[in-house]
Amino acid sequence: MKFKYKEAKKKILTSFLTVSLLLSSPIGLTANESEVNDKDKKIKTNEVQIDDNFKIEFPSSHKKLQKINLTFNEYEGFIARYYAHNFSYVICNDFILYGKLNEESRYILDFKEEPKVIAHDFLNFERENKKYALIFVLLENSKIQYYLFDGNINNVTVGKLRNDFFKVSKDVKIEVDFDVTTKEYVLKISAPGFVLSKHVYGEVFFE
Amino acid sequence: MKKQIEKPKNKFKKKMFSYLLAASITLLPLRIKPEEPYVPKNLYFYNQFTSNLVCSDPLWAHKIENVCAVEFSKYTTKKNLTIPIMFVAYKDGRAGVYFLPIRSEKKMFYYEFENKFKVTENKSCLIFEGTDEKDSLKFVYFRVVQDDGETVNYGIPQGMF
Repeated sequence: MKFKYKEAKKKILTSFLTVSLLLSSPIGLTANESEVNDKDKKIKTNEVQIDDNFKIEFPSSHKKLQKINLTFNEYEGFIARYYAHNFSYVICNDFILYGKLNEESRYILDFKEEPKVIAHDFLNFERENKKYALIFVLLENSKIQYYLFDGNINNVTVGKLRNDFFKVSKDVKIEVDFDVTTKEYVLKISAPGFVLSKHVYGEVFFE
Repeated sequence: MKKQIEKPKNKFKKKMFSYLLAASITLLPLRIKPEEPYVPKNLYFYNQFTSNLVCSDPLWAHKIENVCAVEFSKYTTKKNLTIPIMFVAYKDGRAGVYFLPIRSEKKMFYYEFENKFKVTENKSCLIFEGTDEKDSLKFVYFRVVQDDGETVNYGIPQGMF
């Protein structure tokens, strides 16, 4: 009889431990929520005296928060967006949009009649105390182009080179290694169909 | 006899292991911190000539008229995300705050305060922005200067919205 009592006691203890362990995290969460509610109660007083000369008005209720729907559409040819040196660069499949972050105007580099961008790589670096952004694009017709931005909105250096030694497919990726001191770049082109990645060597012209 | 003593020990180990496992599983989600999104500096600005709040990337604009002055700040939301906010002091003495989107979301939120400030004679508004703490309640505040040099102060507790 004594043995049975002990067994039952053990069972109760173990089940209590299991339940308490399983509920440990939800208990913590509810505690946090109640803290928030306490804060809300404080906020509902609306005006708080911080010190003798500083009385502050807080929002009275969450319900007064208005939702404003914005209407804008991301361009369907959008590929990627980059930020560098307080500039933003938006690469789309038929143009590059760029401009200063604190200015409303945007500038466009149109590929015009060129076919669409298949792959790209974005670099940003400093050279001789000047900040640059460099975008390489590989186009559908196997052309490779680079765009060098030096922080002056009206000054973009464009480099174009013809690539006749292979035909690009849509799964091609490019990666650029750029040496700031020698101004030379190595452009690695890889694709699942290639046994080895192809390399294009060249120089970026700073004008 | 030796075996009889070892058995309960193993059972105890097994049970303890399962309890610890259950405890660690239940605690796991609490350890994950929300991802801090990258908000570029100067992503938003207010153009007084066109009366537009402008997001420079993605490019969109939202008309806010009758604005006297604006002031930007950072705000920590209920979900522990840091977002940009824009405080607006209107020419008619109203004051409000825009909670701005950070991930190209197509919505933003606006709160308008109940108290009005007295607009200066020359219709110019000077706003001071800062953060403070009172009884462990952290908040961001905006002080609008009136003609007499006194300020009307508006605040939003961190994590309220």
